[in-house]
Amino acid sequence: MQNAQTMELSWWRRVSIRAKMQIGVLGFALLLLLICAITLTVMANLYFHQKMRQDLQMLSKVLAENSGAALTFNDATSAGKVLSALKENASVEAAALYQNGEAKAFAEYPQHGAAVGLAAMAGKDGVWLRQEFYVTSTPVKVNEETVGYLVLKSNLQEWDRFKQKLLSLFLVLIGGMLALTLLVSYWLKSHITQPLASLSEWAMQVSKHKDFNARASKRNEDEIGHLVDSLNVMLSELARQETIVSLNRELEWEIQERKVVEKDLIATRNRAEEANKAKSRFLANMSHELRTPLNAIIGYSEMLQEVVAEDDYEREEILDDIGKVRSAGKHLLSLINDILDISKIEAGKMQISIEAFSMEDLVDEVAGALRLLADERRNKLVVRGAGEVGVVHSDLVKVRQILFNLLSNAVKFTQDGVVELICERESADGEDWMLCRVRDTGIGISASAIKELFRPFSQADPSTTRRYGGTGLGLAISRSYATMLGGEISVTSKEGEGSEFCIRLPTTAEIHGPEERIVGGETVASKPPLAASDTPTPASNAMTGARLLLIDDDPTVHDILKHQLNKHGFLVSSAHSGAEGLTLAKQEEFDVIVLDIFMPGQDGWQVLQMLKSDAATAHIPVVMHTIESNAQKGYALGASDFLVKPINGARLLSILQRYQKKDAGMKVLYVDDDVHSLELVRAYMHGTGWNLIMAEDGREGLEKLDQNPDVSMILLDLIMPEMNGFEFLEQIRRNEKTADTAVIVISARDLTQAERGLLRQQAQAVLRKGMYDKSALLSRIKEVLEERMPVS
Amino acid sequence: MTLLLIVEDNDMNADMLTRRLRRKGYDIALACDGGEAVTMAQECRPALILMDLSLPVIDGYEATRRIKEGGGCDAPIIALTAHALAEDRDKALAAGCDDYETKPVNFPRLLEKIERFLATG
Repeated sequence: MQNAQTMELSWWRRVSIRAKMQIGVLGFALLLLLICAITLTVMANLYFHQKMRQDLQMLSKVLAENSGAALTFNDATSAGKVLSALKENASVEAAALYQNGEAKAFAEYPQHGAAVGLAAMAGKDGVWLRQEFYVTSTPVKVNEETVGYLVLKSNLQEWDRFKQKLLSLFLVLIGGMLALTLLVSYWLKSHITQPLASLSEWAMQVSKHKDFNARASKRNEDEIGHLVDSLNVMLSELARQETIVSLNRELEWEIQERKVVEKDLIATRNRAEEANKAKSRFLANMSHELRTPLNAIIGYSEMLQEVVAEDDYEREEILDDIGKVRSAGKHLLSLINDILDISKIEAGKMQISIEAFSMEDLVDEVAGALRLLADERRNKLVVRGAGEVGVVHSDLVKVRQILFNLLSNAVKFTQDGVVELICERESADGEDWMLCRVRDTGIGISASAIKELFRPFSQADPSTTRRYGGTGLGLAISRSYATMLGGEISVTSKEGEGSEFCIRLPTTAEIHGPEERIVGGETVASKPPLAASDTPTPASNAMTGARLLLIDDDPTVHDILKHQLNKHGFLVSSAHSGAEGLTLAKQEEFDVIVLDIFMPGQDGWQVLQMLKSDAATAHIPVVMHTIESNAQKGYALGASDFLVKPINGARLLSILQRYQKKDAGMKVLYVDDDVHSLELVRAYMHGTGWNLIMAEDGREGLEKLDQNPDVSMILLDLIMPEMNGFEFLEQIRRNEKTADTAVIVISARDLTQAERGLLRQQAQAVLRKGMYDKSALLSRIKEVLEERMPVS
Repeated sequence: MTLLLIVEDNDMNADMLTRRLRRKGYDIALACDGGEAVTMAQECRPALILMDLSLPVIDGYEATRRIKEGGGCDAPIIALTAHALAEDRDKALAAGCDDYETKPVNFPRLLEKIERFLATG
């Protein structure tokens, strides 16, 4: 029911205002008309009937009076005449005159027989409406005596005619009304519904496009005009609201964003504070670690000054002390190298260079380097499985450093125990991995120390550095390297029972960071010295006639080395005692001497001293070859390199390669404004047979180059007065004669990416000032020369 | 001869300091860790102690505290450490050290301090 109402209502609601007004106006007019018509008809009806009766009665009376005589005299003819007067009245259809008590009409009108049915009315007095007729009966009196009755029958034709006229009138009125309604409707349309419709259309557009800046145009000052005004006001209000809402939304958004930013900032600040604290801790530790060897260096040097000044010393004692200074210096250098490595890693600048190498060779090399230390601490060093791992593609230098760090830790922290290095290959996640486990039966690590283990300078016990050596940075660096190579290092340990470090690396590493392009350069310089001097470069190209003197009392050593070295093009001369060696060295020209230490008669140390003190042999590089690693003493006495027995062919070769002397008399130009650097390089070059030309800035360098067009190698500092290294490089590369001359940049400057790029194109290598030793510099020079002039 | 106790776990530094002080006419006893330092302080009765602070077993701070509190040894203690921050100095003095010298050692100054302590002691 309600639904039906709603339906009806909604139908009505859907009707347009114009239609509503039209219907309204028309309906109202018709209603008025109807009321008028009905009222009028009723009034007319009443009036007509009343008049009809009166007229009829009056006519009837007049006729009755006139017909008295005819009745009295029974004169039908005159009675007929009287009745014929009715011709004048069109509505009288019939009339009859009856004699009192007679049923037969005395006279009839208009003709005989017309009064059928009227006889029944005779004898009464009055007017009656019979269907469509009025009938009247009037007594005819003569002298107050009724002699007969006159009956008249009158039709309602007049009334009918009147009714028709009324109907026509009403029809005309309705027609007029309709026309008027149309007119009104038209007017309404143009003045009310049209503006309303366009307003409604405009409002719809506004709401559809949400354009609150649109304004409706106003045509009249009427209600619609006011409506337009109101709407416009409302719209500007809406626009304002909208602006406020959108501003609010923006504000809310901004607040949210600010909150996020604030959170980030707080987190960043906390991280920065944490990092800052860590840096401070690191610096404090670093300061401590650097001061400790410096203390030895300064202390011993001062003491040496004293004793030499007072002439109160023994040669052996002094040599021993110098060895200690050197050892502390080396420790300091390895610390600095490690710190640089750490800072490079942290700055994301550590480069990776991937090459194929044999894990077996690498493990043999690392184990060989540590065997002596293991023996000293009465540890059994066991190595297995490396052969099965085979060749891997990774960063040789970094893998070696990781293995060396972990294995030397294991050896250092174990005494009278077993240290194992077990390698295997495994496939997991569709990748090939190598696993190297370093297991020891040493002091172990407490659970709390394990957490801090890989942090820089966080050896399990702060005093371990002094007791066991090491920089305290090895594990941090190792873990970073493992991560850079796509792997990881994990550790399990039990205090007092031992530890196991597991290195897991992909057998084919992918470079994620910047690829190393300036091959060697900084990597060589940043390697710890122990690793640096042990670099095995596969002997790819045969040596051409380098002369080598081998001094060793063991004939089997001669057999093995001769065989290996001859194969690689060395001309090996043999001496089986120190005395024989010294004689040979003076008689013939040698490019390098390999010297054993333990020999009957003169031992290696004495031979070395004599070789170095004789001008004829002092320039020949000597590689010490021994089972006892007393490198400090060897270096102090002037040895160039150290090889620990058992001899590894590849290692020996890689070291010996540096001493090939097919470049005697080669001219090397060193351009540097720092006199100390110039002096240092001059000292390094002593005994190489090279001719060193020095210049103190770029301009002087160009002049020297002009005078010596046969310079084969230029060593170049970058920061110089007059003309700096970059300008110098540009100049010589532009000159046709020098465009191809090899250049090694030696600089203390931290290079930018752009500068690296430039040097990559214009120089052959970059060495960091102060980060290379004699052998690193010389071998780098030879490598560069060899790359540029390949051995045919 | 005046006996000094050097507490130092780094062999090289211990050797260097021992020899330099011996050259200056002092008798030297050497302890390699904090525990040994406490024992030797009481047994050898040194005239002065040079104490490294980062030591195995018991560190230098704790060793100093035990020597000062344990009685039996009232020798002045000079902390000799590579920890060179101001707070390290405060920490050393708080632990009971009478003076503080950083490594690398300024030997003339150290000698001067030793002599001054011995003179007043």
